[in-house]
Amino acid sequence: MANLSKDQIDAQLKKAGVATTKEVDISFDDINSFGSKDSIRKMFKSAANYNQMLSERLTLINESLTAAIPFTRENLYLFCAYTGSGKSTVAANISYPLWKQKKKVLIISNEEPELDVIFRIACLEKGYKFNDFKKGRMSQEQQMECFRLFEDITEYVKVIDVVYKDGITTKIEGVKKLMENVKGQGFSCVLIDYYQLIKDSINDKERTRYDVLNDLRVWLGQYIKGCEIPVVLFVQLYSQGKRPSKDIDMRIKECSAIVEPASVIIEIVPNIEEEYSDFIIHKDRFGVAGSRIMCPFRNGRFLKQQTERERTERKLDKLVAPVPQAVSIGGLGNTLSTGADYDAGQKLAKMS
Amino acid sequence: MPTANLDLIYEKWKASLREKDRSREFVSANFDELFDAFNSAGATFEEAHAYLQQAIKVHLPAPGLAKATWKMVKNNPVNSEMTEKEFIDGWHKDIGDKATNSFYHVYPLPEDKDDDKEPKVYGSMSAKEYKLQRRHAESYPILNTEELEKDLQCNAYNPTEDILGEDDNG
Repeated sequence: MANLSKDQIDAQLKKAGVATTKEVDISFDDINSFGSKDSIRKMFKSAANYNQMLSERLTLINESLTAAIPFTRENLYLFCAYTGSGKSTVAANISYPLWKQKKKVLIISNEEPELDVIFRIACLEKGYKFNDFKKGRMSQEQQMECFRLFEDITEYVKVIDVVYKDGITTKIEGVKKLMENVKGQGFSCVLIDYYQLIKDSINDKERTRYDVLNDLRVWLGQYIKGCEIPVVLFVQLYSQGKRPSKDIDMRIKECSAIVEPASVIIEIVPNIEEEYSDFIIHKDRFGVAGSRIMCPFRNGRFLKQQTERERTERKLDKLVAPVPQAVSIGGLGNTLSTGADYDAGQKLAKMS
Repeated sequence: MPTANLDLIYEKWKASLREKDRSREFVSANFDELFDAFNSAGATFEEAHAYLQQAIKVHLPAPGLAKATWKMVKNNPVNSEMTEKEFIDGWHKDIGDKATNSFYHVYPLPEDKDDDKEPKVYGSMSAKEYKLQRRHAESYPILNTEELEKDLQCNAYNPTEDILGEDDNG
């Protein structure tokens, strides 16, 4: 091995956090200069940079969520839900306003096919129920209206689905490669739907699902630090019935350590009778953890939270309204349950 | 399982760690021993999980030891691209990962079998399941987003310009 020069040794020491003697000479003047105009300017500049990062926030679904949770670069956002509680609906709701603002989005979907991902967004634009399409209840005219939007939507919303290249969206190497490739390509964000289905490794077929997921979470932690866009990861939860706990990591399936690299963790819990979903904020580096935002649900869209007064009026309206004979699941319930369930998603991934 | 019993098992394990070989190849075995003991004593998943983080913490190397180890290995070519912090963080992470693997090996997550035989009336949920989910959600206070929405209308604040009154270029 060649000998290192003094400069190279110094550089290595500096990199290792071991400063040379000359560099660690600190005088009293150095300490006393804290509080000088220069040092204050430096702190103000850091504050300005942080404010700049916050001001670059993207729209997150609606005004309420955008205001509460800065959706911005260098952050990993987890959206967690029990099966059938609206993960894919939320993915469409995140993509929809970004498409309207002509911002590029990459959706890595290892559960839903590309047609469904794009059709959901088209339905949001038209105000149609996506589930009507899935159940064959949507008229030909309405379908045509949606299909006409496909060219425009797909110009901005890029989908890599479960059948793409023999199912690389379920393989850790495939997901890493896709995400490396979008760096610096003008995308506004990446959505991965969903975490637990990235369960295989091309390079090592013997790896357990836990190992693969754990490897991915470590890699994601490093990726987001050097990435100019936010990453949204959808995560499957156990229900309160199966795991009665307030701790989100106790309810995350397969690899709960994914909570570590996440800046924000939001749980989605639908209220089907009253047609809204609660977005419970479990972790948030921006300071609103431990609370929830109630977003009314209309034709697939999560609308902004109502004011306290509006919520009270709505409750009073319900009190005077006739009692329904049976709980309708034709609206929200059906729409939310259209996301294939966990087992079905796994089967689909295996088939691919 | 009474917590006192688990505390005792944990404290016993913690004390025995001082005598144990804590080098890389023995880390998993050390954690296996703890979680096996919990399992044999009849501790549930939740009860045992409560000890995971503290068990990891006590297995981490002492700062002095970590620093001394770094000094010994830093000239090794395989560590040439690494800083001391990265080396120690990697060490900690390896212990954490091994502990987590060990825990889930002893306490595997149950298969997601749908043992709720009641009819699914709320999407994928039975009435009972749905009620529990709603109770959970409603235990959180509602965030007042009106003020936050108003704040968002304001532009990004730059104290360099606003307080020092100058355009800072450096």
